[in-house]
Amino acid sequence: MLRIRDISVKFGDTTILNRINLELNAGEIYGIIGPSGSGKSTFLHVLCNIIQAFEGEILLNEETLHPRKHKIAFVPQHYGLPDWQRVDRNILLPQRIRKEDNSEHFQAHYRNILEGLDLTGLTKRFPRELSGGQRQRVSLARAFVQRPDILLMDEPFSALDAITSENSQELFLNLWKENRTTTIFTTHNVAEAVKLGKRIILFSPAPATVLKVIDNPVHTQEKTNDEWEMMRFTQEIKSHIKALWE
Amino acid sequence: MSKKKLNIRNKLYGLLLFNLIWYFVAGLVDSPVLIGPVATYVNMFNIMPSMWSHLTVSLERIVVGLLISILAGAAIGIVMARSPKVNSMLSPLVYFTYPVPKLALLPVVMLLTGIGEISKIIMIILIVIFQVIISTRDAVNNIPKDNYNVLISLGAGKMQQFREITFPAILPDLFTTLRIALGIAVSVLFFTETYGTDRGMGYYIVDAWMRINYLDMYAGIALLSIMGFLLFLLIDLADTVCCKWNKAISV
Repeated sequence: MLRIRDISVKFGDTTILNRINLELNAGEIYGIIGPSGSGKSTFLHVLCNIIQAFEGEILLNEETLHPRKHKIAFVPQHYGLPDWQRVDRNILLPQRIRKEDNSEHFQAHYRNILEGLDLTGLTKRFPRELSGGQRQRVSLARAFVQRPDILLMDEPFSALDAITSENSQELFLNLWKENRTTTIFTTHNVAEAVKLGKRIILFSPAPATVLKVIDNPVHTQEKTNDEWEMMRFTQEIKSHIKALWE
Repeated sequence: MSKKKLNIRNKLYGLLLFNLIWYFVAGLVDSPVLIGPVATYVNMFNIMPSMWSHLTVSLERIVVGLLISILAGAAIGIVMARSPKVNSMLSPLVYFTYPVPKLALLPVVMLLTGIGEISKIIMIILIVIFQVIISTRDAVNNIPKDNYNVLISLGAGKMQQFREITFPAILPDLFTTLRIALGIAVSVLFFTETYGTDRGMGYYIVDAWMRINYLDMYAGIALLSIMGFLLFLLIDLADTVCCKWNKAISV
């Protein structure tokens, strides 16, 4: 259980986040929808310790969330892959930072993730030698390889074209089903939120507050896609957005 | 691989072209003060034993001067980029001193540090270090923040951030700066070696000039140039080996 209590962030006189309160269940995917510039990225940055000047508290299983105590996997918007590290070095970055062992058991897990994300033949390439979709998958691999306590993804699929994005989402969901990591991702794409999010969190325009948390009846983690039901729910979210953002 | 071959071929082509131009100009002018490449190289090999000790002295001054400049300059540049406070303190100083003709400070440096090795090395550092500082600082500032953010979210310490991100990210810029610095340093060295010393290639060339021994003078110039060229190749090689990723072809 991730408890987020009264999180506020100010840059100078500007309030970016205004008393965010959330309780998130372990092993679920939460999609945050908010207008551009509403503070979604800032919220993720607070969770992964990039922004340390905030009010409020974040508790993971009743303990303050911190990268030294918990495994936090972060997939930034532009993937954050150092150009000078080949794919394998990039994916194993968390292992090096945490000085974790390279056991047989881990190797099997690593190979499984490479296969799951269709990266097996690309491990010796540099990020510049990859397409956008491949780079995004490397970033996902780096996140999953650490078996994180919590996975944070900032607009993970928004830079990809429609077909690549759909393909990446499928690979992500398959991998997620094997790991069941508590996941929070941001998006401004309602269809994406509906496809991936077990629950959908609506942020207000800046300064961000939580307007509504909506259960997703058509989440694809359990059942096969019900296209019609999905469309209906997407429309429902859109009408919420219309009513709440104005 | 073919790209590398092309690179080497380009360099050899440049070497050949330069010598051809030299050869024809020397032939056209036909003057005892413009000696052609063949006579110069033949003489260079003949008098190599007497030039050798001068060459090693010059090489030592260049290498020590450049090493200190790169290490200290990069360290200062990184600190300036990472600390706005230090940057606002040092930036005005760096900008103010940048256009000051530091070669003109040679008498001052020699008065303060004497005519020994130190004055020559200090002159190289004085002229090269500001460039290293500025280009390092700008290179660090250009590193995408996302790269650091991922490390922070993993709980990486400052040293780990330096090793994984800062250092490899600025390495190509350091090599570029080193190339520019090398050219300048060889010129500065030549100038400083013409005063108050009886060792070094600068001394050797000017001494031959004063003795009206143009053959030896040309041999000295050629040897100093070859030294610079070889150091340049060495930097290129290190760049190619250390920064393979920078040559990777983007998709």
